[in-house]
Amino acid sequence: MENEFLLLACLMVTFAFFQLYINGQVYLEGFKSFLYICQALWLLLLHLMHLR
Amino acid sequence: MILLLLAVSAFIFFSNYFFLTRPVPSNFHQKIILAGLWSFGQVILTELFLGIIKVLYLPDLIFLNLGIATILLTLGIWGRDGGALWLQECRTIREGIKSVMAWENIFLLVLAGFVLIWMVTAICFFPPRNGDELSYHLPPILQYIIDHKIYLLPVEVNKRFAFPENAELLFMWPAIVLHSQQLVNSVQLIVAFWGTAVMYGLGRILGLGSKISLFVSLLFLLTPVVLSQMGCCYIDVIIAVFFLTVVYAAGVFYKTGRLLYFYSTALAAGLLWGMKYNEAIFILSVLPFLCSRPVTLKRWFGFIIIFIIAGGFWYLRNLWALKTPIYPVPFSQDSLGIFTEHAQNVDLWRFMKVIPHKLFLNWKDIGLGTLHGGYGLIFWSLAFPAWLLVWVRSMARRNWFDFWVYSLLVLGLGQLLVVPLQDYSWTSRYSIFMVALGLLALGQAMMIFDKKVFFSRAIRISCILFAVLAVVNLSNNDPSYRIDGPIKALINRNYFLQVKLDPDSFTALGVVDYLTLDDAKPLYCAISTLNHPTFDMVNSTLYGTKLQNRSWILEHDRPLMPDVLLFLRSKEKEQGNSDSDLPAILKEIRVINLEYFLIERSSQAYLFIHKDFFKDPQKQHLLYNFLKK
Repeated sequence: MENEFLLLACLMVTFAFFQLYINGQVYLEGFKSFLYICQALWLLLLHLMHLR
Repeated sequence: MILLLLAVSAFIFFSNYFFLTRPVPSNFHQKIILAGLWSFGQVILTELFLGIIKVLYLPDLIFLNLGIATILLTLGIWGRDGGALWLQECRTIREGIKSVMAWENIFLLVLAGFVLIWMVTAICFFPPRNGDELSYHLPPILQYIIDHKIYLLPVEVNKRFAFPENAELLFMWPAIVLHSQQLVNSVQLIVAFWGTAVMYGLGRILGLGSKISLFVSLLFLLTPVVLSQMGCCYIDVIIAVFFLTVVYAAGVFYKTGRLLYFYSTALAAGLLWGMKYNEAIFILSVLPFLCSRPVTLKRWFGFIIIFIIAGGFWYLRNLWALKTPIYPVPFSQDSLGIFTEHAQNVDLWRFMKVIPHKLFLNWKDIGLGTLHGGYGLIFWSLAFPAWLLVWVRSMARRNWFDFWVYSLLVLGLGQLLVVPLQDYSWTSRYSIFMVALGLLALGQAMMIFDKKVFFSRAIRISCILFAVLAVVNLSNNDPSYRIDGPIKALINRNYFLQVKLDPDSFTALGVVDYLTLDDAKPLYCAISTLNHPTFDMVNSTLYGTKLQNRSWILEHDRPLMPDVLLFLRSKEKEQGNSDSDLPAILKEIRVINLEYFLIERSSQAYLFIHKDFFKDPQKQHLLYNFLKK
């Protein structure tokens, strides 16, 4: 049981490290656009409230 | 009309739900799963039935569905106290919510709620805009709506018109009720959310606790490829969720032996079989669950009948019209391939040699950031290692049910490995159910090591962080869900002009949509090309937002010449940005007689509209407004 746990934890840490190394940039590229989208949704909410 | 769509859809669902309160009195999630399955089945099969007998009209469809739903509702509440039943259901829901509440689930629910609002907004603003949906998922169903019948469109125009279309019939539901393309993108969103219930159910039959089951099912919803496909008319999420439903229903039958699940497996499997050719292989994989219980031949006969009714029509149609149930045939004497145009030679050694490379491509999460792939950080870094452990463990402990369910991931991986290398970047989406199985294994690992508090917390926090990254990544995605532009402008007249379509050449048709939005008389539109490599003569864009226009090539009573001509430019000319195509095009459409006006010239297309269209001064004014923008 303990060995299984250690093996799993090691695999997860290694895989996570390499995944973040390979694809981390792709995930973070969207950050700025994401803020624009949040802002747009907020604007839409205000607009809908104004319509009411 | 939107209210009608919502009301009828809700009535169908709740009728099925209350009908199921008789055979499934206690479990809330089981009723949600089965009511969803039966409702989707009802919609697909009623459309198919009316389409086959050539009376696919909105009133007929609505009344038929309301009739079936009313019968189900009456059967469900007949002889019972309706008020007490309602209160009992509310109590079940309240207890269910209490049992799944945990901080990580609340966080993921909030995130899922945010995604829901974002997606609904995007669906309202953006038209269908991706290659496959424009070229062959949508045109057939739009043509069926216009012609009021379901039939085989000419395969010479596009071979993919012969594909099975059960999933596309789900897109038909909003399109026929609204007589518009405006909400067709919503179907995969609904199926994805229903898929979380299916995932939850699967978690429960695999022995996961209710909190962990909800946790992994929400993680499935927040997988990059699922997020990417939620707002478009591809069918991969639908297929993945229906396959999970087949596994779920068969699994519950294996555990309980209840015939309700036996026949529900038949329905789910039949619907899935009618969505894509290769799903037959996956359906066979659940046969051991069904065969493990004694079932009489009579009941197996009933199973097969349901299965064929739910999915067999497309194969019979092809057999009748094309003399082969599967068209285009994916194999010949010396080659095979999922994509006939890229059929690979049967060379086992060559195939084996590229397997490590393909596995590495998978692990690199090829297709991330597009709707073609992206299983996400959670799957490749946490769930996949957990799956390896849980799979081996279930085999070592002879827990055959778990072992078989988790083994299905190998089947999904196998499906990816047979794809030719040149198509690899856009085929991960075929095996989305792998993600679900991996996440269930992650849940199992969390259960196994639940005493390791630090491990358990680390997994939860990492999953939440990675889910947030997946949502952030969605904002920089292809297809674009950048709703900020349309919201700021709050434009609602030029639906197809909101985004660049794929291929971009079809964006020019947005002008035609803009000019004809309120027209009763259709324009006949044709798409032609001068050796364009991705040439499809039919594209859903040409029908317009409110299906106000017609595909010239698919109409029987078409005029001699189309009203609108879209000429696609060849790739080489695009790059050079030269007009060397123009003389050939002008010759082609006999513009020498000055029959057409050149309305738009983009780097990829020329758009011509017949002169007669602009005899109406209002159209001239609209065009002026458009050009002014």
